[in-house]
Amino acid sequence: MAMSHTDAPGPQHAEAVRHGARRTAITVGLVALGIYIAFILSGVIGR
Amino acid sequence: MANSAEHHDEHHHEQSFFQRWFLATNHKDIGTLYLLFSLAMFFVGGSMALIVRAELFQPGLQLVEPYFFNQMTTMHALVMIFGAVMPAFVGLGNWMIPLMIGAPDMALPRMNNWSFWILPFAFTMLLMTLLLPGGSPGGGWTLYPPLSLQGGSATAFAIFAIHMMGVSSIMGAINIIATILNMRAPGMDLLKMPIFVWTWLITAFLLIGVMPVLAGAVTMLLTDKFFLTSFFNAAGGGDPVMYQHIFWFFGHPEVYIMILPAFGIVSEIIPTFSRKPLFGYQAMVYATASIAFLSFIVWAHHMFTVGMPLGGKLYFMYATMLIGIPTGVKVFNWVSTMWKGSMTFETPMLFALGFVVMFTIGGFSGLMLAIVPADYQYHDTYFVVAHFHYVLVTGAVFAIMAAAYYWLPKWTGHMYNETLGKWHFWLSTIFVNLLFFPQHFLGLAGMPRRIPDYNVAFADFNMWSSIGGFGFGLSQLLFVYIVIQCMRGGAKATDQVWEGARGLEWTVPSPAPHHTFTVPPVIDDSKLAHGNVAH
Repeated sequence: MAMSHTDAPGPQHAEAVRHGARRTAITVGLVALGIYIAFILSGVIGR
Repeated sequence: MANSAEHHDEHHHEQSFFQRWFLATNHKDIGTLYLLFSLAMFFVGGSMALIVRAELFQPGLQLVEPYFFNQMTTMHALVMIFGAVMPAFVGLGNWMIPLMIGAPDMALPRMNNWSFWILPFAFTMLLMTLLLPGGSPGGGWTLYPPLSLQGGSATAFAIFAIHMMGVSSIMGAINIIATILNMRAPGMDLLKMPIFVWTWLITAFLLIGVMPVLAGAVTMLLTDKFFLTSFFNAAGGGDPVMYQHIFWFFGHPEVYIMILPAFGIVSEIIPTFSRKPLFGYQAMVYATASIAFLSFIVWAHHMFTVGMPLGGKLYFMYATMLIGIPTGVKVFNWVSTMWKGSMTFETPMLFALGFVVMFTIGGFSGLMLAIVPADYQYHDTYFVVAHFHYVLVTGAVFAIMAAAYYWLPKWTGHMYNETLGKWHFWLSTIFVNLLFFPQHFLGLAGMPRRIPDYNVAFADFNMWSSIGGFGFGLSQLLFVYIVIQCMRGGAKATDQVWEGARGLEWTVPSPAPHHTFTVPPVIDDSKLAHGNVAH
């Protein structure tokens, strides 16, 4: 058992989770955008 | 745990049809939308395949013009890959990942809605190309230049549609990563997550790594076609082979995007119906990650005949063969899970076992194709068609079918008709092998792929293959009937549904309430499926 009902996280925890999720999403999204730009640039430089 | 899950929220009862489905933010509703969309696309793509098989029933040109035949092969692939298989897995992920990790929903519900609703527009645009002068793209789903640049305006439509599909996939992947990394219930450590969640996490990173590469490749195609650039135009100093390298840098990981979640599904089902924990849980996780890594460094095995240095051929041959090792670990672990298990053979288990046997056949023919001198003979023949259909149909599609039967009682609250489910499995298995196994022989005998007519020497195997194709297609109507029947009624499903099922998803009522785990569940290790848990 990791936790009981009385240990249930409060609203601050929920806000922290939301914040973390947003930060992960933005980071991963930027990585995707970077790959897209990098491959087109590789096409430009490659030829 | 059930108390928190039984939070029947009244909100959705107050929602209009439009609000619930078009403005959906609930992961279960969006999962359902993805699955229904995928099912529709299976039949659209399947109909195109049947046009192909009808034309190939006999040698000679009977039913369609060659250019239309080429459009059917191209569109069949695009629809099946991007419209059927990938959305099916995203739908399953949407439905099950939050339930499996004890999260109330996906991390970014409104983006989730956007991810889905882009797809119908993308496919409307893609399918509309059939109505354009000159028809839809017909140069194959790989869109190799210069052929793909010689079409009409369909190229622009198809490229825009592919961009939209890519945006949808990337947003879906972002959501899955953000959900799994941030919203697991306390106590749900990474190495306690169900294997399906693990495989989806790794798949999502693959999507992030390669969908932008496809987008980059087709953007360059677009500018070559309409803005006078010469990325791939040899006359302007470009290199068409560079397109193949970029495309397959996307294309090979794409194969694993379509199979890793299938591995996850099978790894959930086999332990349930063997009534044993999964053998080698951590090995399964590392094998999945190894396969994902290797998928990035083997792309040129798709283009051995393009003319590359011997060192390149040797490297790509050996790197490709390496994939057999982590894949072999998985097959070994599935068999070991069943070993001395108390096995029963309900429909999900039958489809999972069908997957293990027939996917392995596809894996072995893949190893044959990895051998450079042999590939010179097999390349662009029906042997390749047989190989990847064993991987994608008896692999990915069979796993999707297994998942549908496995989780249908949790989704609908009713048991499906087991007798009809078994009929569906056996009809599918017999006909799919009749469809694809003879194609190995056709390829070995030298029949090229993507041709509407062929030498009479290939007639018999083609006839059998076409009969198998129509049989397999018609068998899927039985699946639709079973699903509708299950949605409308049937024996009441229990919360656990299957005697051997473990994991958080089986602790919520059947059907799963609209909102689950609004309060994080208390993790009881003994009720988890996998990982460092006591059983």
